[in-house]
Amino acid sequence: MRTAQRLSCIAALLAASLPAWGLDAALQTAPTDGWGAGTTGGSAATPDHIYTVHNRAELLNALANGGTAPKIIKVAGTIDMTEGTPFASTADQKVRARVRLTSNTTLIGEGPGAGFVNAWIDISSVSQVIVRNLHLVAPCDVGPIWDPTDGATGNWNSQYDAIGIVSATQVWIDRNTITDAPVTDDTLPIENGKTKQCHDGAIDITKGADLITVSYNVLTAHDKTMLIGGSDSLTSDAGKLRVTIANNVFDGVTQRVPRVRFGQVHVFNNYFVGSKTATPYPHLYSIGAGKASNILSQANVFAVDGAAGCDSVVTYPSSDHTGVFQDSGSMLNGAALGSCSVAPGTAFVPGYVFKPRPAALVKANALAQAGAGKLTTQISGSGNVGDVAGTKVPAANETGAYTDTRLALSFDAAPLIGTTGRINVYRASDDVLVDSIDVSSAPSSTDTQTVLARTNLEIDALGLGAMPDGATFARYVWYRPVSVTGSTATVKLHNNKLDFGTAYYVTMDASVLSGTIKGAAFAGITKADGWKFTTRAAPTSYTQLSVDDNGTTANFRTLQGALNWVMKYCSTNSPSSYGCNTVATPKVISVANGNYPEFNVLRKVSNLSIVGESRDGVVVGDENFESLNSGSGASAASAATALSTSGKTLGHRVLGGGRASFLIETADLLTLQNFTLKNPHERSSSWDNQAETIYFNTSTTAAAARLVAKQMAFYSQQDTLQLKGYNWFYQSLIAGNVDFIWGNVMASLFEESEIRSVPDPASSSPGYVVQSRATAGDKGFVFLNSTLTADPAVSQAYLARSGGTTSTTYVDNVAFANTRMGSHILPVGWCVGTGTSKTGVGTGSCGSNPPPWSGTTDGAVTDTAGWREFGSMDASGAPLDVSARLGVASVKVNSVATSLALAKLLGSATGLSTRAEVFQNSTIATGAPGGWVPAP
Amino acid sequence: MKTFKTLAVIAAAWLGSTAALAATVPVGTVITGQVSGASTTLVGLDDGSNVTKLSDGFGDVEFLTGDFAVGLDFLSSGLLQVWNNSGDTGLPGSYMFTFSFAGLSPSLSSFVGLDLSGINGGDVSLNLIDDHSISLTLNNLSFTDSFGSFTAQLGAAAAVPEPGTLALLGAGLGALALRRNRRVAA
Repeated sequence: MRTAQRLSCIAALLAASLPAWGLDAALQTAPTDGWGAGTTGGSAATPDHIYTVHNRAELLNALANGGTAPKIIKVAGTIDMTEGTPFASTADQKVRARVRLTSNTTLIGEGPGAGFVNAWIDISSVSQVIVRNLHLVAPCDVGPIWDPTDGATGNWNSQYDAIGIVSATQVWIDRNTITDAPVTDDTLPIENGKTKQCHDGAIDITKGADLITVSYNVLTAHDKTMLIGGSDSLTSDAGKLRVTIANNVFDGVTQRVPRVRFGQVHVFNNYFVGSKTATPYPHLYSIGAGKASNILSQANVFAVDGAAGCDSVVTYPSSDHTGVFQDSGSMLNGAALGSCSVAPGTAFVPGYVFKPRPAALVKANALAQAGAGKLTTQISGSGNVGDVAGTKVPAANETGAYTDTRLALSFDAAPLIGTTGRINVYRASDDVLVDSIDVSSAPSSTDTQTVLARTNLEIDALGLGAMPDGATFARYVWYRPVSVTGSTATVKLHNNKLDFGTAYYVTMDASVLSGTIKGAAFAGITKADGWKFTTRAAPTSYTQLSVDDNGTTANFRTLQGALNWVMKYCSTNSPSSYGCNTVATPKVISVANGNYPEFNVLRKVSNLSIVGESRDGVVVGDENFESLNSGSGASAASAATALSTSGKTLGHRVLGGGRASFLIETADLLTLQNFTLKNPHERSSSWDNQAETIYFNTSTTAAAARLVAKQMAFYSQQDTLQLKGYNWFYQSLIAGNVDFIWGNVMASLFEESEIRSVPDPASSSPGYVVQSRATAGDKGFVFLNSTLTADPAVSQAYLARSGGTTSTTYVDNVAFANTRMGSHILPVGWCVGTGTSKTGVGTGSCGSNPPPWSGTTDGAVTDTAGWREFGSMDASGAPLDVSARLGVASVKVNSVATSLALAKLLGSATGLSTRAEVFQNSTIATGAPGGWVPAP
Repeated sequence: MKTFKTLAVIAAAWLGSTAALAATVPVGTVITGQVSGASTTLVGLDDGSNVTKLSDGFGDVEFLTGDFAVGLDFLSSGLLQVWNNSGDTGLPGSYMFTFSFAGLSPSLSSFVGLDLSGINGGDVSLNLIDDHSISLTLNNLSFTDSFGSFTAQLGAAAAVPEPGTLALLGAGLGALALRRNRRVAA
């Protein structure tokens, strides 16, 4: 019932907001009963030429993009063309205030509140322009000019109309509001005895402009309202300046409504309201018949206090009396307009069919429909407002380019990635090809699979040339070299291909990308197009490095760029002459806020800290998953060639670099601090979904490497963290759904951290926080003073499940100590189904998952091994009801039902409550146990 | 081309009174309107809402429908002029209006068609709802001309009329007709 009511309300709103004829306001064209008939503006725009702009920068980009193809620019909110910095001079204002509309454009406010301040809408020497539904504060010239010859006693004159139509044809100005307010003339200074007038026209139409309709606008609180024809001497205006002014409200405007030279101007059904004694906008006259003007007036309504007779509203504004004015049906203050001193002459015949509404309807009709904010437009598109199409990164002839730069090219709207063609980078000095990206399926030519798209699929060799193990040693992975974000195509070159201080140029086949740049179809890039850049010099430090995805001061654009640098000079195999190849020398990479969508590898570097500017502001990682790059992964001297023999992408070549976003190999005392690592792969029934953020690979002995993660966030779904060795996660967030903390660890401590279960789009089954494959005899996974939380959409999860089989020797060492658990953690806690491990065959209800193996004689839990918990609390910190927890359960051992303790509640947290206890067995620091007690 | 010239006007009197005076609805009377059917909103002359004050000024059409197709001009004489503002001769669909008048004295007793000569087809239904409210339904109307109109008259309850009063009533209607003629001429 409530939904139905809401729907009917929405329907009512839609009905109210749509015009009677149903077409979206942005798609409408000029009415047939005006000289502007046939003005279609940008109404035929395709979605890639529909732009929504919120500020001056976006507006200018939208104006620059798309060429002359029909274009709709939707204005959202009020755009201040000063952008908060007042105009410094008339010249500055001329540049910055200008909204120079292009041909075939509709500029429309998207709804109430849309408009401009400090804008000069310039419609010059173009054709087919529509301006609708905008609230325009008339611009105020910052440098009015004193003209002592203007009038008997001189006057201040200003430039910049709210809307200036100059030498343009086919223009429709509709349903706008134009006002001086809040800078009304009474707020202006008086100098030389005159108001220092800073406003020019509201809508001025000059210099041969022609075929124009001005309809349903509200022009209010303004002096010089509509000038049609700017000079008696501009005789070329004869035969042009054909303008229809219909259904407008002219409320409290002083003069020139309009003032006409030469033009054939049809004025009908407008409502003029004001007062001869109003201040600061006293009514002087409405319609002025200037030189050679021909004004046809029909059924206008004048309600002007103090006015009496036609001459009080219609006049010759100068000594030239060659203009003519004919009226029928107009009313002045409730009476017929009557005879006018302006000669009737011979009326022109409008070149269109029209029928004015009776004067009796004019006031209500105009007030109801005229002015900004009464239309809404719901259409949207993908027009590029982010930059000017054709923008390149690096810019042509840039000299400070980064060796790890991406290549980027902006289009009018999102381009499509092609299925053939290459992007090549040549060294400028000798035209040697240094990198080539092939978007065709050739790189995966040995694949027999067809489910994974094979175009735009290249092989990268991460760390190539930087690794201590050899020139070809690298992490080999499949990756998607070309991506499109917004309207910009970005190309990731192969890793580590560019040298410092070297000039390169880029070529691109036209088939690589399909789209338009300023309206022209992309035709590829050749050497002659001059996309050339020179990389900057090498960093001066091996141990203090900075990364930023924009700006010019950092050492690298990507984390991998910095990692390559550190690996090359500071790995444990690097020459000692660089002074940084041991754990004794700290190395620091600082990463500025930004997005770093990249795969990473770090190998054989000790005591490196990667420190972000902010945890949520620095996001590192790209989408990788089992079906793309099968396996946990390792670096190697070459890319493997075998095809996968199982899984969703059976027949896909497995290169060997693995499915983690960030692969870390043999890197002792790595610290990750204050940033986000994210693998954005979402689980799907189409794929095998293992998708680590990091795989920290080291040995499974007491001498294993150490990892510290402080104030970090790790986001993925399945297998978020794959860990080995000794790991301390402190005040960090780990998010995932299936087995999202797992690995063959020695001891892995999660302290004061949030472990968040996230929704699983591929399954409605409960998720599993931990899958332990720990080395027997050490602590395994320990959660201390942490919190298990869940996304609101997650209602159930298990603490852990076992990965054991009848042959595996790793153990299910998991302990939760003094940890809060949200209500999503199922009462039974631990997952045991009907699977088989070394312990036996499970009899639980958790699917086909096996019972845990604790490394004990019968596999049962003890105080120091297996699934344990102590001091669990609910989300609020109150003691948790653990009465339904898994404990002693029946397991079939050699087909005999046997009662075994599969999980237990501990009597104390002894051995789990301090870092010293948890990491007691680590020997790498000193060669003996007890050598590592990490501190915040 | 008008195939059905089945113009039907249904007028209902209230309280069974057959004798009614032209109602006086003073300038400034607050009128609250509602519409359903082809349009669901009313734009009042005062502030664009569905509540506005009666005004006799030239062109003071108190309400337009939200689709701007129908204009409703109330006069203090109790006359209602209903305009087709759509620009076409046809007024397709149904428009179901109600109007209530605040503080009327004497109260309303009738609401009947007056000059319907501008209507070329379709149905108009006029009803008195109670002593201060009326309803008006336009169903697929067409007019003899674009921007056409028709008029209707609000009546007020009257005591048993005496001959002199009837004469006055006749004079009043004559004055109304004259006023309408003048406006059409304008």
